[in-house]
Amino acid sequence: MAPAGSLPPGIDATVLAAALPHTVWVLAGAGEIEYANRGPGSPGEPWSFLVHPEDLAAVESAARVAGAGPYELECRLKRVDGSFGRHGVRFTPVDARPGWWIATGTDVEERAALRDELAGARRRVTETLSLLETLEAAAPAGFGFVDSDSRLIRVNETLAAMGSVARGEQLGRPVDEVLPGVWPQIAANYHRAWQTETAIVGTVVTAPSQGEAEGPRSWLAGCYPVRVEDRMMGVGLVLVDVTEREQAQAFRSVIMDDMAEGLYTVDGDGKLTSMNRAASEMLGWAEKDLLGLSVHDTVHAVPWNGTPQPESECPLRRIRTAGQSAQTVDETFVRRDGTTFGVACSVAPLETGGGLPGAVVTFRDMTEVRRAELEARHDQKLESLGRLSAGLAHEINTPIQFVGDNTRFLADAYQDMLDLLLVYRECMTPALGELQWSERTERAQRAEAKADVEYLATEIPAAVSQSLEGVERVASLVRAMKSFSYKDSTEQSYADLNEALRTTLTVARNEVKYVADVVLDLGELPDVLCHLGDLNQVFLNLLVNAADALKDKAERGEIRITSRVEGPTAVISFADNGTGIPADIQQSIFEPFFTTKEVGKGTGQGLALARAVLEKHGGSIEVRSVVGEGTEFTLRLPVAGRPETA
Amino acid sequence: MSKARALFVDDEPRILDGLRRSLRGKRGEWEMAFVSDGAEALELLAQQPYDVVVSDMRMPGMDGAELLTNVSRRHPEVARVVLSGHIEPEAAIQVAVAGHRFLTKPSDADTLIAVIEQLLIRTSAAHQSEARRIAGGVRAIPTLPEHTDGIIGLLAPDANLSYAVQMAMHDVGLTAKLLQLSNSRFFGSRPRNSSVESIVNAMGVPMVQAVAGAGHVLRPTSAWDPVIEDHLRTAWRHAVATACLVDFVASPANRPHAQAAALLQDVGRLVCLAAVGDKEGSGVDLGAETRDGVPFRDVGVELLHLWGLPPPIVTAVAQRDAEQSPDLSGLGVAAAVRTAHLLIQGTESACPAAGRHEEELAQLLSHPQLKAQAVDWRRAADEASRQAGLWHSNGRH
Repeated sequence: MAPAGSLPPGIDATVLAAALPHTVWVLAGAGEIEYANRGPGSPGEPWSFLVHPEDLAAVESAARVAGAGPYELECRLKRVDGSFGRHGVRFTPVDARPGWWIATGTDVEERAALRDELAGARRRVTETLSLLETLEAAAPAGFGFVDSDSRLIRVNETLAAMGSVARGEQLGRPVDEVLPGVWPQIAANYHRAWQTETAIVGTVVTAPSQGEAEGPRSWLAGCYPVRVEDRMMGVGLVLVDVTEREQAQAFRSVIMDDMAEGLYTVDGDGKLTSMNRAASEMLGWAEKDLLGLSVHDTVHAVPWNGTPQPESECPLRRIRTAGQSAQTVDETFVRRDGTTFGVACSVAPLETGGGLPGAVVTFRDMTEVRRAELEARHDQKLESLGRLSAGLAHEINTPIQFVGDNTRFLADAYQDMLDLLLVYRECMTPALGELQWSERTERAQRAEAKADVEYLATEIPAAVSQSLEGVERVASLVRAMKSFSYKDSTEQSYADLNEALRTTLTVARNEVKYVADVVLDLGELPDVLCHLGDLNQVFLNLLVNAADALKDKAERGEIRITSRVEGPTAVISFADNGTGIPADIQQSIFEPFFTTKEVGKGTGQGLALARAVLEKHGGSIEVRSVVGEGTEFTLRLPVAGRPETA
Repeated sequence: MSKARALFVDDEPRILDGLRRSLRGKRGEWEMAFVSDGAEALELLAQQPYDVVVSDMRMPGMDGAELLTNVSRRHPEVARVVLSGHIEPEAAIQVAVAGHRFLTKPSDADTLIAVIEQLLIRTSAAHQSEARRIAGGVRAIPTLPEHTDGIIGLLAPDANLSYAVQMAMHDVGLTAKLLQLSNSRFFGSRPRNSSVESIVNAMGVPMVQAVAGAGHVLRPTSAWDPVIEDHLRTAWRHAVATACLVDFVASPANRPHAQAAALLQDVGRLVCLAAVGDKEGSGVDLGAETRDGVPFRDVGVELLHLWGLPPPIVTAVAQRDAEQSPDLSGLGVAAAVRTAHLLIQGTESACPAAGRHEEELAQLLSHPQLKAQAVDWRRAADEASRQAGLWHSNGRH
């Protein structure tokens, strides 16, 4: 393109050159600088002095290749400040003076930097994107991006899987259409994020899981506003799978809020670190009131007899520090109001890292259980009474039968006697006047023979006495039943235990009489302070057990009941010569529900009850037994009652 | 005529003394012995014949159940009475199997005397002692093999009342045993004219199970002779069909007795044939319908009498094959059973050994009590027969 116009006067080539944003050199044939519009190069110097030594070879080679034609190259040239900068250099031969060149240099350093920066930026964007995609695909989290029109612009597989259509079809469509399950739970946060331009996080949403077998999963949803240069571009969605955490939380909340057993945790010093609602309700303390306090001092200090127990002796602490777990310990806890209640505890040490282990303690209020035990004891009493009642009916029916038969006989006999009497009276009447005495005697004798006077004379007294005996049998039985089922007051009272033993034998006679003879060897006994009703029950159980032990014996057995005093103790024993108890189960027989009897014949409570009753009296029960020879139970009772209350 | 002989056993001497005195009025008619234990009783029985033995249940050594079981084997001709003061169900079941009649203490002398006097009567005119011997040895009536499953079902812990009623009403042995026991105060008081259904309801399922179970133990386990089994199956189907039909024929008041009599009509056949295969059963003559020369029917009637079933039932069973000419005022149990029996004879459930007697049947059907009902009796009979057949095939499974 030809230049247009001509230079006005006063503007020559040097003025022009000075205005150019480039460096212009005029080089003479040998490459010396003839002219430079600016820059470090001075006239007369070789231009090559300006070239960075490392680029010199490349420049010379380019010149050789170009020959006489124009060429361009890029190389580092010295700047005015002495530094080197990359320049684009263009050499143009001067047609008018062969061998001469005009070179123009443009500092391209900044442009190159810009270009490098651009390339770097592009690479970094690519890297970031691929990282993002990798993360999106790999993380157990849902990612999405929703624009201002509520359209889903970006979504990863995890989030897409919560939607109704395939991932590819979701992009660009309204988010409430493509994510109908979760969007309603997020929409409000999305709008708030828009309005406030702040991240709205912490909402847990649920979505059906991909696997059919699993239940719905829980996700923690966050809405993050995305701004570009203060302009809201959209909202990023991040959904993190918190199902396990939610389940763990639900589990924990069951333990902490719904579990019927009390639970608390303590640190290595025995200070409370947490407590569940049941514990809080049972103890009357709110968790916050006890946090950091010694549990031992606040709820566990006072045993029933009133002496505070130092923490060093606290069994719960001993278990905790010994590192053993899950023992069930019966303890007494104190409520906030000072009342106490029995509990069964288990303790599991909890390593807290360094120092003594803490512990998780669970406990159950045993008040109801103990009450149920008392009721079971009452049931046991009813059970033995039930068993007795059939026998008692027989014991009563038998005398009633023979009393009835005898009475009927006596009625007949009375009639026979009356008939005889009438004959006698007739024989005596003067009206018979002329009748011979011998005739009268004969009539009387006939009547006597008819009435069988000899028989009546022996049988009537026997019938009367046996009837009375029968009546007395029934009466004594009724008395014994009344005395046996004597209702204990809560206080102990003095009682004649020999009399109680006789009474027991009377009511249980029918249980015993078919299998054994009972020998009573009762010594002098002072009255004993006791709960007589409970002891009667024990006597009955031991007597019936003895009879049961004799049932399988071929011949009739013997049960020997003895009583004696040894100092301040009344000693009563029940011995039978029955089958005996094998040594290996002798220790078990006092356990509740231990029984060798067939189902329905006993609940296995009898001896457990006996031991409980004796212990309540401050006494003891022991067994001595040899298989094949027999068994003896020995009861020892303090005459003056239980030591603590005496 | 020689005096009747009764033996009393009780371990309580006061009881024996009382009985001796209160029964003294009978000393002119009865020879009485009183012993205090079972072994002594068996010795006496071996020495002299007795008609009746009255025993306590619970005694040291040999108890009443053991004694009476021994008596039933060694001296089946001796009628067995239990007199016990025990009221436990276990004891009740033992006596249910071992004894003929059950009395509880206290029982007054009149009751005891009445029972003994009843037992002194033999129902079979022609075969007094033989019929008594065969019937007396029966402690439980066997169940037909196809009913065994039903009884096992009844013994299941989840058996319900209606099932128990169904089983009891269709099983000859269980019906007879329950009627026998319902006469005893062991099982509580009872209405006089009680049906099997009301007895089962009153006793409750556990008691019925215990009774059925006790009978089950006694049942011979050996396979029945197929000919005998077939014979019995026919008789049983006939009995069930008759029992179904008699429900319509008998007046409401007579229904319970009529039904029981219909079901029990061939009980003698059942007990006699059950013995076939045992050595005692060798005297059975199927053609003549006799055992040891005694007609099956005589054995059955004697058995029902021994067991103390209500007299209308015993009479109706006794007269099943006798021509009936009922009073116009009412059909009565016996004629109702006979009518139902003859109607069933015209169906598939007919009993081949008995005849048709069409003239008598026509006469009976013209009785005012039956004419008053608008029932096609022959169709009703076919329906009853069909029902019995159904129950029969169900009972097999």
